[in-house]
Amino acid sequence: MKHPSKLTPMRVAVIISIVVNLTLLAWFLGSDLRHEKVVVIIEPKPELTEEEKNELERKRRDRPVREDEIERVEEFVEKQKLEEMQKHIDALEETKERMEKLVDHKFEALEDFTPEQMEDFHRAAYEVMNAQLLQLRRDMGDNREVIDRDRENRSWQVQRQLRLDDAPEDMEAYQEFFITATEEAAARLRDNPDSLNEEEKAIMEGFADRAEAVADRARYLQEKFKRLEEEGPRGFFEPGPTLAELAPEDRSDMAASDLHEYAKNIESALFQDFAAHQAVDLLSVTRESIVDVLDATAVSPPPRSDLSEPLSRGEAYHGGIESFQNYHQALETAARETAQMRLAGQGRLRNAEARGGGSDGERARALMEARESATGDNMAEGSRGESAGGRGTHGDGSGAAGMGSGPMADVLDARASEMLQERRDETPTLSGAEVIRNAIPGRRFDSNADRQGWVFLDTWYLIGPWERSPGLGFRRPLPPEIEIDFDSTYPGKVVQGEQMLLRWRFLQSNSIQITPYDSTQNAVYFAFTEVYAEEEMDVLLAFGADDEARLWINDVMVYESVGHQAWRMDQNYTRIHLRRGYNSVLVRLENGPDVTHFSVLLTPP
Amino acid sequence: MKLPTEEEEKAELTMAPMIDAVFLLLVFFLVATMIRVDRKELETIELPESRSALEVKPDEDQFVINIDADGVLYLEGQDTTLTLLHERLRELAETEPDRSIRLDTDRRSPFHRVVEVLDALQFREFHNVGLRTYHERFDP
Repeated sequence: MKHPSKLTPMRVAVIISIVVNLTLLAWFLGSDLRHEKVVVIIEPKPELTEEEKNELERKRRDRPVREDEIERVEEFVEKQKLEEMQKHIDALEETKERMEKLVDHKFEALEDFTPEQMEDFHRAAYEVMNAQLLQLRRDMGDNREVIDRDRENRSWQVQRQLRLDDAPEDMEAYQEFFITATEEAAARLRDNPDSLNEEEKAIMEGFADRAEAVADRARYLQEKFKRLEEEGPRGFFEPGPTLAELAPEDRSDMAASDLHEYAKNIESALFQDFAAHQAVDLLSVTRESIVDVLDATAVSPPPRSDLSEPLSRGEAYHGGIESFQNYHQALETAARETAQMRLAGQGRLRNAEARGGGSDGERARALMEARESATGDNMAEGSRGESAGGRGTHGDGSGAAGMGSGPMADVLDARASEMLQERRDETPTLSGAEVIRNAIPGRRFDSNADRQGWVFLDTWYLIGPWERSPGLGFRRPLPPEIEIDFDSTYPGKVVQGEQMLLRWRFLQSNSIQITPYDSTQNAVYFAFTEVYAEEEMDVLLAFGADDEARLWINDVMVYESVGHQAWRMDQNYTRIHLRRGYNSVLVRLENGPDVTHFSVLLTPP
Repeated sequence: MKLPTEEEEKAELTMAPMIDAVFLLLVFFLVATMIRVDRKELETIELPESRSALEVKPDEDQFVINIDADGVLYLEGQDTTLTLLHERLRELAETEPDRSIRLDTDRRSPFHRVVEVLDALQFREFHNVGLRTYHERFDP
């Protein structure tokens, strides 16, 4: 008899065919079917009436929640989040250790200061204080009428004591005197404002606030110099506590709130390390004064949430569904913030390593020199505010017509004049309404773009206000001049007794005139943007600012204006050179009284 | 003793194990399909609703930027910062200018943050940019 399972050719063919077909089917099904699957398999749910929805929601809400059920879910979620946080903290600790090594290396390279240097530092600090005091007095002079009316309150007598002539020469004695006098003046102004109207009160309170701010600064510097003498440069620049000082013995069993707090401490210490590293680096490569260096490198970690209460575990377990949700949300925030701290720390380390990567701060030196230099590409051919009347010089405000005569003629170099002359007949001049109507926003210069005429830069990242140091002005560098980091936060101006925390903020304007956020008087602002050029090209730039301003293109200063002045879009014309690709534009605005604005217009070739 | 004949020694293919193996293969692919997840997606984001959005197939090559309800940025579902985002976009504009970009925003995301990211994409000349929206039929 023939065996039934004998392998005949037909059978083999059938088997192969089945195998191939099933494999093909499996392969097809194994492909990305998310889209098709949901469309085919999941039919749209029938629409519920409003009543049914409410009923469903009510049932869901009223469903008794068992405590052990919450506990089980919460334990699972908590475990996941804790693991996540631990992972981020591992990375944060590693970053901190590497940062500590960089800082140690910097301080080792920095020798102790000589007595002469110490003397210079004291003098520099004294100058800083004097400059601020001088401006305070100058502003008071501008408001003499108001102050005179306030004489009955005797505060003017106190203000008079602040005259520089009366101030002692010795730094410490000077600071003591200054602190006492300004505090007294501020108190008197606040206590006896009855004789003043609302506007006058505001002016006097403004003085009082500033006097307090200057006094605070004097106190701060006094403390710093004391530490410099006692502990040397480390005491002055104060790097953060080390990881060994911060780290707990064992963090594997730590609760979420403690872990979050620990991460915050590391981040804060890491930022202190970074500021100290940057300060020493800058001090060793530039001739900035020690006080300016301190200001220019001050950086704060971004504000983080206080989660100690919402992360309290006991309440979450016994407070029902709402408490559970709050706890869960706090856990989410803690994990997210820890991740952000890790990234912020890594960003600081990356910047510090890049800075130290060259021969001991080569980049910082190059940057500072380039920014101060008047011989960069742009300056060489462009019209220079500094050399050409930009320092407090104003044109006659009539655009091209004004450029042919008066001080503005000095501002323009031959080439820029030529370019303007060429355009005079074909494009609108910067004579007000017409330009405002015709100028279009943009940041890209492509060869195939149909745009003609002026383009105004409408998109910026802005930061400020910092306290203005009249008398020092641009000599006092601030952090954005050293690095542009959109994630950093910086201690800013003291307003109504509170120091502002500054961060870069995005602004897209539909107007040529850009006004910084939190615009206030006696303040410094920065604005940063980029311009794209498809090919290397020269463009004509029209810059206007109220009051003083500096403008850098690709880290090279192309314009500087000094003195109080109202904004005009044709304040200065400069021919600048754009390199192929992205070009950075940085503006420093120094505002005196009232509001501040600026504008940057470009016209392509 | 009976010796095996030549016919009995011939190899035979039994069907049952082969069918088992094929079905196992089938089940494997089915399961693998089911568990494939979008790793670039952020679970915490509640997408905005839209009735007019176009329905497209998932694209694994898309570069995904996520913005959560607090305006915090993520890249491909991973934490990031604004500086890193700008750096990444700059690199991408140079290396893969035609890369498709997907923006996953929460319905409560601050609008200024969305504008900021869209502006950065426009400035870097990315033309293939999509905003992901929620549709109850496809995102149950």
